[in-house]
Formats: sequence, structure tokens, C-alpha cells
Amino acid sequence: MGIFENFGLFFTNLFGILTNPVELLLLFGSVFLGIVFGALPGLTATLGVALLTTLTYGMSLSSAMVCLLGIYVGAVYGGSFASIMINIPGTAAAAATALEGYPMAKRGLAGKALGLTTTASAIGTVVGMFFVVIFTPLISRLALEFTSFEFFLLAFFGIMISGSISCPDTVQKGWIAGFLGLFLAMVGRDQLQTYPRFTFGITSLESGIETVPVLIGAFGIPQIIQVLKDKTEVPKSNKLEKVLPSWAKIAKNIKTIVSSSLIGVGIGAVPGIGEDIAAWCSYGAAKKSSKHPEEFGHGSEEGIIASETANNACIGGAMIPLLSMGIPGSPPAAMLLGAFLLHGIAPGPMLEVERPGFTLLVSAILLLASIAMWIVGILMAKQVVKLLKIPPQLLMPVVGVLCIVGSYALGLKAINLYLMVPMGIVTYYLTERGYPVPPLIIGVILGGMADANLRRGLMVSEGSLMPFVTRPVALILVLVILFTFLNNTAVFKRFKAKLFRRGKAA
Amino acid sequence: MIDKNKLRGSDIISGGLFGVLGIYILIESFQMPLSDSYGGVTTHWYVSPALMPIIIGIGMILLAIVIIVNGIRNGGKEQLAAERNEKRGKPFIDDNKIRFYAVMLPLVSIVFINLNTIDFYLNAVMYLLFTTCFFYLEDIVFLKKGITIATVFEIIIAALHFSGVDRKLTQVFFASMDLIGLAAVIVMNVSLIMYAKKAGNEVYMKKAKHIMLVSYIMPLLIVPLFKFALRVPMPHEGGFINLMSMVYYALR
Repeated sequence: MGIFENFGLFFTNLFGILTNPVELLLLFGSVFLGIVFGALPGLTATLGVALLTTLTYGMSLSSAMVCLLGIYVGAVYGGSFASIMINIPGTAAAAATALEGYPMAKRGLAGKALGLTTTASAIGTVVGMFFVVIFTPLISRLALEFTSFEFFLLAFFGIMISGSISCPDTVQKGWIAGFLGLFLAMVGRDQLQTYPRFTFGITSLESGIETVPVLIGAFGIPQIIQVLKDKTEVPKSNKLEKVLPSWAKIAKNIKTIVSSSLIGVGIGAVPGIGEDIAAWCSYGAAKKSSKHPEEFGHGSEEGIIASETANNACIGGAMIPLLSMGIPGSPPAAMLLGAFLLHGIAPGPMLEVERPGFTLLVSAILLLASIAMWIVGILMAKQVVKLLKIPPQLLMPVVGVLCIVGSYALGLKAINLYLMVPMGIVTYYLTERGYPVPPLIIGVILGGMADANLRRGLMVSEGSLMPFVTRPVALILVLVILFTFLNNTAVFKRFKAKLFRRGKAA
Repeated sequence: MIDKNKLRGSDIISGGLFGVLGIYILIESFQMPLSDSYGGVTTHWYVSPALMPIIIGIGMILLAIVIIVNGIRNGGKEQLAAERNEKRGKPFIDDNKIRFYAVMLPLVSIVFINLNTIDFYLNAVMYLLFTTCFFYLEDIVFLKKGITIATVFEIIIAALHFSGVDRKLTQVFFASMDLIGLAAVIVMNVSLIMYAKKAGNEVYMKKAKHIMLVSYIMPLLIVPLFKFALRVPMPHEGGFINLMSMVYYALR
């Protein structure tokens, strides 16, 4: 398709949604729901997408995407409400926002802080959307040249990098969580020889473990256990005056917005790294480059803008590998992958061949979602703040019922529930002990792809491992994986420190 | 996440568990067709279904060893010993464990015991009522009382279900198991109201109202949404969902 045809299709999608009252209502409704999900501590963007997936099952593709992307965009932004008003990040992505937003709210500037987060988040989402439009077709075209070896290595790279970056403790815990995910993906009949693996003779397990219930279990159940087990009390909210968009402040901080958007998109595009890491990296970079770093931690507007622009720009970034290679860039994107598959969309290099214009549909929805988010954020902030008063002890059990009925609704199989609950308990146990969840999820999602592609590749090369080093992209991926591994070993760290000392001495 | 100072001790245990899982994966993998014939097709090692599980098993064992060694080197053994000494003389069941049990009991019950036995609306009411009673009131005395009531009823339901008696009972009256669930809900509800009244606490009475509102109204929204709007059959449709269907189709 030519550039003008693409433009035409983009605007057709845009007007198609704008002129459809049902889809418009769904857009605003799901964005508002997303903001509520993000704002309420304990509920996350991933859980929001997961629970809404079950409700979109009977909808048309366009309506379903409107709902899912709407809740995703809304939830990532919504986290800032709790951060600013009660100093508890609604989502992990809004943790950096709390550092600056809460001190502003204490000074009576909550409305101003929310105005900044609303506008910065909307800009971040739009920038992310532009990157989706530009880079998805390019990477898809590149990915068409990939063979089985590259796809296997990409899956492995996703687990390695996600394990390295998202781990709150030692890096080996991140990797082993990834391996656990890979193991879970092996359950069921294998794709090439249909041999039953790790099924314990249970017929229901032969078709493998369904991703969506596993994700609901991994993200929903630990939150329920955590919030109910620990005595969580909702602190008194700060007073909220009128929310102002603060365009002048935004214009003044344009440099921060540009750099934060780029950081957000870049981090989002790395498999399995979520909005929280994007927000922290951007916050750190803004602090380093700021003319007033001493203001950070005491209500810096620049800090709020940096964190909120990046976490929303990360949405677009996460969509790029998802759409072009079928590799999710963040945990909510992993959930979206499950939703895409439910609606008969197989993301990857062949996406634009099988579903021409799907990327543009996603981009158009992202643009509309960011506008809807801005409008809802400015107009309904007071209503959202009121919802922060709902005690989590009343809210989380309702979420529990939704998790259960939602998991069951996907496939109408009781086995989904029998897997969801233990999965949630295992994830809770692992999280408590410093094992990260994103690599586990990436492992579950990419395990099948890694397995089938490794064996298919070796079948073509008749068992030769040479393509790993003779194919340029494969070689680059091997080197990156090796570097990621070595960079986290004590020997390499000592070697690096020695080199650094020698360099300094010289 | 648990206290970072205690992580190295728990690493030894979690690393050990991962190591055992890795060994299990390897044992299972070596029982899969490697280079012999499966389904009339001669396979090679590189197309074997065991290839990826072997890689996973080896990777898991190696990483588990690293985690365990790191734990031991950084004082994990001493931490474990200190924790053991700390626990000595203290009651085995503390408030923290009770709260964990209180989260898990309704959750495990709704899925593993009640799912195929009790009407899903009632099942959801039971889950919500038990959980909110346990935690929203924030009263350890009622928490313990509530746990006892819920445990007794769940033991009865589990015994009837796993012994097969529930099937005989439902042959006599299709919603007979629902009656037991309903009894659990009534007992819990009455206990809650009586406790709140006895305490003479205005806040407790207000909270009791909130609990009842959430427990009865939310499933009344969720179940019809899935059952009638999204056309998802519920896991077990007993007396209440049949009643809902009758009302729905009568009004439609």
C-alpha cells in the first residue's frame, strides 16, 4: 500500500469509529473504566485488559479493539490519580509520579498536577501511536526475512532481557521465572509430532494451557491475596480543585516531553519491559538533564511530565513488537496478544498480509483513545477521585469473582479455573520472594513459538547449529543474548571493573 | 516482597524447589521419543519433542544452583537458622497466617469445592460474603468466628461432593446442594448482624450493610451480564440461576 492509501485508510478508520455512536460510547466507556482501574490501588492495566477481554468475546473486531485499547490507555494514565491524591501509585507505572505529584497536591496544587499528567499522558500516547504507524510495517518487512532460528532467538532474547531488567532482586531469578514460563508453555501436545508432554494423563491438558486464564491468575490472584492479607487502608485524599490542562507548562517542557516519549517508546519496544520501567528511566533521565534537579522529590512539574509521558508512550512502543513479530512489549500487551488470538488475529510479520489495515486500525484507536482520555481526565477527575474512597476490602473480592467468571467464560472449561488459582498462588509465592512475573508471562506466551521454531530450524539445517552464527540477524541476537548473560555474571563484572580501573590509571 | 534481609534464606528454599522441578522436567523429557520412532515416523534428536524441555530442565537446574549458592554465600543458612530460632516458642498460627488462610479458604472453595456443586450465583454470594466479612470488618475475633463457620460448611459440602452423595441428593431435589449453600449464607449473615449489634458499634452496623449490599447485589449484576447478555452458561446453574432465567424469559 502506498503512503496516500495508508493515510486514506487511517482516516477511514478514524471516521468509521467517530461516526459509529456505539463504538464512540464504547471508547469513552472503556477509557473511563480504564482510568478507574488505574486509579484504584491493586487493580492494574493488565488486569483491566484481561477482564475486559472476556466481555469483548462476542463483539466485532473493531469494537473489541476500541474497548481493549481504550482500557489500556486509560489504565496507564489512571494510575496517576492515586499517586497524586493519596500518595499510593494506582499502578506501578505511576510510582514515579507519586514522588512529585503528592507534594504538589499537599501544596493545594492537585488539580494542576492532574492537568499536567492528563496532557502529558495524551501527548505520550499520540507520540507512541506515530511510532506504531512508522515502525510496525518496517519491522514487519524485516521480520519477513527471519527464519525459524531468528524467531527462536527472539523468544529467548525476550525472556533474557525481560528477566534482566524487570527483576527486583538477583537477575538469575528473572531468568528462572522465564524458564518456568517456558515449561508451562510445553504442557500439552507438541506442535510438530503431537506428542503429549507433561499432561499427567489429563485429557483437558492435551490442548495446552490457555494463555488468558493463566495471565488472569498471574496478575489478578496475587493482587487479591496481597491487598486482603496486608491490612490496606485508604489514606485520606487531598482536596481537588479544577483540573487545568496547563498548555503553557507543557510548551515550556517540550524538551522533556520529546526525550520522555522516545525513552517510553524505546523501552516499550523491548519485549516484556513494562510502563513502570519506562516511567522510572524517563524520570531519572529528566532529573539528570534538568536545570533544577533540586526540585525533584518536592513537586517538580518536569518530573511529573517525564514519568507520565513515558509510561503512556510505552503503550505505542509495546505495540510495535506485538504487531510486527507477535512478541509483546509489556505485560498488558501480553494480555492484548491473548485477546488478539481470541478474535482470530495472529500478530506477526504476516499480519498485514492476512489482515490488511489492522495496524492502522490500532493506530487510529490509539489516537482516539488518547483524545478520549484527555477529555474524560479533564472533565471527570472529581468523580474518579471519589472512587478512591472505595475500600479495597470490598473491591478486591468483586475482582475475584470477575477473574473467576472471566476465566471460565473463555472456553467454558473448568480446567481453566483449576489452573488459574494455583497459578495465582505460585505467582504470589514467587513475587514475595523476589521473582518477577513479566519473564514468566513472556515465557508462557513465547514458549510454543520458541519450541516449534528451534526444531523447525534444526530440521531444515539437518541438526546443524551453524545458522546461529552464519545468519547475520541470528548472530547479532546470539551476541546480544551472550552479552546479556555475561554482563550479569560476577566474573565479567570483575573483568569490566578491572578494565575500567586500568583505563583510569592510564 | 518479603524483607530483603530475609531473601537469601528463602532463596535456598525456592532455589531448591526450582532445582527439583528441573530434575523432574529432565526425567520426564528423557522418557519422550528422542531419536527413535514415534507414530511411525523416525525422529532425530533435533526434532524430538524432548529437545526444548531438556534445555529448560538443564537451564532451570543451573540457575537454581546459582540461586542456592548465592543464598548460602550471602548468609542464607544463618538467616534460616535465625528464623527457625525466632519461630521457636511462638504459636504456629499467627495473625498473618490466619489472614492468608482467610483469603485462600473462600477462593479455593469457590473453584475447587463449590464450582460444580452449588448454583453459581449463590457460589459468588458465598465467596463475596465470606471474604468481605473476614476483611472489611477488620475484627480479629469475628475473623476467627467467620473462618470457623465457613470451614465447617465447606467441609460438609466437600464431603458430600467428593463422596458422590450430592448427585443422589440432586436426584431427589435438583437444588438440594443450594440449600446447604444458602444455609451457609444465612448463618454467616446472621452471625455478622448479631456480632455488629452486640458490639454496639455504629461503624460495624454500617459496614455490615455494605457487606450485604456488595455480596448480594454484585453477583446479581455479574451473573445476568454473562448469562444473558454474553450468552455464557454458568459453571453450575441451580435454583437461583433457573429462577433468573424464568424471570428473564418471562419479561423478554
